[in-house]
Amino acid sequence: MFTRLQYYPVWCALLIICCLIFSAKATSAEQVALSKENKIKAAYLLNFTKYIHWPAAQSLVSTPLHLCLASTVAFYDFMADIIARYNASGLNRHIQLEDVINAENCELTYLQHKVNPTLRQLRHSLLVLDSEAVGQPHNAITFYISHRKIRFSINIDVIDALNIRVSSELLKLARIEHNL
Amino acid sequence: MLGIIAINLLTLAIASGLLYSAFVDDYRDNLIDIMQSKANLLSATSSSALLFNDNQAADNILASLAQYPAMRFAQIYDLDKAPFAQYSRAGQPVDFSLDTLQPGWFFSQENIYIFSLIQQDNDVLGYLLLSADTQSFRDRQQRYGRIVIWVFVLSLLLAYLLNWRLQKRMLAPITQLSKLVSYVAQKGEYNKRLVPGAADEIGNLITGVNSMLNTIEEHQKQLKDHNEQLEGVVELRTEQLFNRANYDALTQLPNRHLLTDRITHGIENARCGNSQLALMFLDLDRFKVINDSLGHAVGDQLLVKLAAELTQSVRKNDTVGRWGGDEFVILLEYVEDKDNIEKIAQKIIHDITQPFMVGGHQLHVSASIGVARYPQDGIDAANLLVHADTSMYKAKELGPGNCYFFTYAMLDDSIERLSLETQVRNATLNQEFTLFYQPKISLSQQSVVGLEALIRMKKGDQYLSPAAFLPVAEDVGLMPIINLWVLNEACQQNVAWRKAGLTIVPIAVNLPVSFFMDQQCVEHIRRALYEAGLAPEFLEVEITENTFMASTEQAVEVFRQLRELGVNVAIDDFGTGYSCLAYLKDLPICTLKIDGTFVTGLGEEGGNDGIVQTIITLGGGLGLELVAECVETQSQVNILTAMGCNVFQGYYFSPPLNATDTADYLSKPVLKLRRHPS
Repeated sequence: MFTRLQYYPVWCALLIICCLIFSAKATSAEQVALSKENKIKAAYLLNFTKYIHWPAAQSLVSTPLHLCLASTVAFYDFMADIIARYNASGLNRHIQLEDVINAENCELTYLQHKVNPTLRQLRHSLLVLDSEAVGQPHNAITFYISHRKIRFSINIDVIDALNIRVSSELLKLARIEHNL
Repeated sequence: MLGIIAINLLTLAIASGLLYSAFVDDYRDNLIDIMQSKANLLSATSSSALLFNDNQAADNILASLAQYPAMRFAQIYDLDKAPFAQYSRAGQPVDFSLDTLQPGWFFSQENIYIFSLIQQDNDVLGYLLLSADTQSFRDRQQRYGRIVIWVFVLSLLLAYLLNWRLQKRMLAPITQLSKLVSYVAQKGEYNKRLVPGAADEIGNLITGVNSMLNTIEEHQKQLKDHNEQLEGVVELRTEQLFNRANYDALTQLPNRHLLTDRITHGIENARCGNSQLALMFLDLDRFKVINDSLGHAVGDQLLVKLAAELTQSVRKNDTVGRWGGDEFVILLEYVEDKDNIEKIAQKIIHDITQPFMVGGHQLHVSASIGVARYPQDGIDAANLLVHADTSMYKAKELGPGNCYFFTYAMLDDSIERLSLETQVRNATLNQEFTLFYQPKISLSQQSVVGLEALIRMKKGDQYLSPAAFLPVAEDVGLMPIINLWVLNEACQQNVAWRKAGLTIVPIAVNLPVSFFMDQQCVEHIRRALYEAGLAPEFLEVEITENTFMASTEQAVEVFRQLRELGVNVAIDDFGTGYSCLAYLKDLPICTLKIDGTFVTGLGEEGGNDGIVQTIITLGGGLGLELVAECVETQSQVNILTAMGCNVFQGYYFSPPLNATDTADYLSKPVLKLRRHPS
């Protein structure tokens, strides 16, 4: 049976998530303006890091995961806020949030709008598109709305080409796609 | 057998219980593990669904539980404990609320519940509740129960069979042993043995029992031999005891016990046959003298010979028994009349007067017989014996060798004799005796030359003569005391007279043969003289012929010592006994006293002049002083004087006098040689 001490991490985790959510709301006026959809996407984006395993050289625990964004400032700030808290726990691989344009190396890149596909830092990056409307090629994961819920698709071929391993757990939640 | 089965039953029951419990616990733990594994798997697989809020995916995951018929429902809750996904088998309600649950498992209402957290990287994402029915568990329980019961029953049966077989194998020799022990216990025979068989504990036990039986058999044999020996001894001892109880050890005649039986039996026969029966009580005369003088060995031999003589004297069917001492009882059955009895009694008296040669001594004995008859004199053994005994005393009074028939008048005499016995005892105790003194007169010396002390017993105002009470004193054993009293009294009286200024003369004291049988007799006399302060020459001892007849050698030695002491010895009543005259010259005596019966008839026709003359001549020839007793007339004095006798004692000169009168008699300056005026 569990004791109160055993529940301590659970309550801590709950407290962190709540704080993340509430603090995100209260950070700035822009954050307040961020839609629930974007917030969920931000959370999903963070969760993807848990189910995706980059090649060994890139996924050393000691080295930070470079998450690059090409988004609105509000989204960036919101993302920065939850990542800061995420990193603060010290339990996970450190995530370093960067603007995609300024970044030297991106392992995971979220694009709300299309960017230059030839950017060197995107060469081996797993691209997550805000929607199919972004139109960025070589996208691995793409958010979409289904039954008023935010869902995502995963392109297996892209994943394979990137030599990235995606957890089956994630795969079974996603809509699987292949290059035509 | 029942005990072993009970132990087996208990052991098997415990083993079966433990087996069943182990099976059931194992299955239950397995079930829990399986459920826990399912919960873990579901938690793991549903965490991503929770993370990405994909309840459809979670439903799909839970739907996989449909393949498990036992699964009742499964629910996934988010962190707010709001239902996120659910699977429920048809008809199975969700019957638990999350609020009351703690992570873990539990059983309730025949269902198992697993409640677990859905976590990822230590973050709790939600909750999972699984429930499955435990029908399979119960089915397995029942199955295990049946299996265990079968195992139990079969094991029990097997254990019983094995035990039965083992017990039969083990018990066979024990049963044989038990039968052997029972056989030995019941029959008491130790000849059977068992074959030891295997060299195990039972074999050792059988060997041990066989060895024990060998020992017991050997002991039994020894015991049997010993018993036979003992039985022989017991038989012999019984016979000896019977003989000892019924027969006199010395004479082998019936003793008092057997005599009484035979008398009783004879009385019964006489009563039935209307016949007569006579009981003779025979007592030897003067047997004590023989016994005391010649010793008990001679006395016993005499009794043996007498017993044989008595047995020969009576008829074949008569019974002769020894009553005790020198007393014999003769039972005469079927006697015709008094004359017939009288003849038998006289024959007995005659036969035993024949001399007996015992230990080199020729002994003459006589017997007194008292006769009591049935039914005239008594109707039972005790009465007849008492009456015969009484008659015997009456016969004794008549003198040796007499027979007397019982009359009831004798009972009065017996009572009188009993009274006399009491008086004698009291007189001895209270010293109610007194001494009278009869002077002995010497005509040649014209003086009193001696006194004879004569004992009297006071009875009221009168004195009883010695003849009346001394036999009684002798019978009751008082004579030793009376003898000493007479001796001391005579010595002290003589000294008293001397101190009174009288010229004293020797006092003669009559002492019976029993006195001289005492080894201390000389010492008694010496002490009496010493204590009184009397010179020995003033004491004279008068004995009867029986004294030295009974034990010549001892008597001679005593008389010699008395003579050495200075005490005169006189033979009293000389001529009435059977003394061998040849002894007289060797006897250390100085006086012969001629018995009064010879003196009384002197000068009369048919008198004893010749005897008296012979005695006087004999005494004179031996240099002895002669004293004539019972001299009552001048004629007797003259005749005796003419015969050569010079000392006289009798009423002609003086009757026995008391001490005072004797003193007067002694004090007369000129003795009046005449009959005492009184």
